[in-house]
Amino acid sequence: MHISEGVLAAPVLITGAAVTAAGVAIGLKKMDEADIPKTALVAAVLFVASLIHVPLGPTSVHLILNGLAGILLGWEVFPAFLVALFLQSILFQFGGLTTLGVNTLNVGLPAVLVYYLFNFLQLRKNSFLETVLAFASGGLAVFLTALMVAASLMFTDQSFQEIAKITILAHLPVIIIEAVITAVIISFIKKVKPEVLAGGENNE
Amino acid sequence: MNKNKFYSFFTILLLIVVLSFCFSTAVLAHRVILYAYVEGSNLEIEAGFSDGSPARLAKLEIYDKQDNLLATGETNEAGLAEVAIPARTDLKIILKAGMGHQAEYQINESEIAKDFKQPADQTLDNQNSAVIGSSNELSKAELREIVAEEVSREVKPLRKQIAKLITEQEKPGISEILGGIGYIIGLMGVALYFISRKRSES
Repeated sequence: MHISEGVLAAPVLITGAAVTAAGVAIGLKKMDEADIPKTALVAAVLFVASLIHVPLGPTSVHLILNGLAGILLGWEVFPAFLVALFLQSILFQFGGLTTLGVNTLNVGLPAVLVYYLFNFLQLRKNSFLETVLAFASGGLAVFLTALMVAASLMFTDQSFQEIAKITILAHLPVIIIEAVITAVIISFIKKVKPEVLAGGENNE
Repeated sequence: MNKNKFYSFFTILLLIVVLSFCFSTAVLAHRVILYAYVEGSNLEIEAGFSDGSPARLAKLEIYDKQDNLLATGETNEAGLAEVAIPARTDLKIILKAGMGHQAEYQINESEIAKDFKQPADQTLDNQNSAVIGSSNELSKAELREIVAEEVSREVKPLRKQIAKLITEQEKPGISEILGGIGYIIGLMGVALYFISRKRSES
């Protein structure tokens, strides 16, 4: 999921950085003081998540957890991912500083989409359906991220179809694992602290 | 903010972090590491991910200082490749492991032996040596070749160890992981500090 330095063309890098900057701005604007610890902790989870390598499939892939983070944070997922990916790039040399914008966008945008999907359907009354929705959201976020990685690579590498096939195939195990993780954690949080879910705060 | 609410949430997420941390020490991923060295007239190239798995069937491109493409290659199932040195200049090896993973390694001109053989005249040389080899005497060139071969055989395990050491060293360690988490908690602290100051001022 971390596109390395020197792979992408300048227009792709600039577009990615610009959209990420907008996303971070929206996220910071929406963040009130009660959200700060939550955002920081999710950022810590995201930072560690990509060290968990999934030893299935043809290439080396790792957890992203953007679906879970998206449901928990909404737009605030952008600043959380920016911090997590920045620290990964300087401490682990995952990805790079020039590709920070594109990499944040590729994981952040699907997370925000999943947030809206999860809250738009409003299945809070039915906990079984909500768990199913969390499962689908966790998988969908990774799937969309794989598509976005393919889209950002298509200007430099092969055709979109070819590269999309590779990235989605490689992330199939991650899609399934994250769907399960998201379903388990969301239903757990729902039982223990339902107000933690980002959408829940507006309904209080 | 409801203190109780925050603490229970904190515990849940911290649990996740600690749990994932336990898994993470076993397998670490996601960065391509490239290492190459000169052996005779070949470049020996090793490519792997930072979790230790090899970069299989990854494309290699070798450029000179002016970014002209000199040679290409591909790693095998074990992430290894052997490419004939295309020219005696500073070489830049680029590995493309797919999905946007890329790594770079530089070989200096001085690392390549002065009398390395171009791929083309290697066969010619073999024919020559076959002819001369029938007479029992060794020419200087042949002797040098034999010594070079022996030395490289002796040095090979060492090279392997160096390669392994380099890949080990580039793995993210416990201090980086804890450091990163610390930075994030620190950022949270700074944000909360400014908010509390703003509140006490107003």
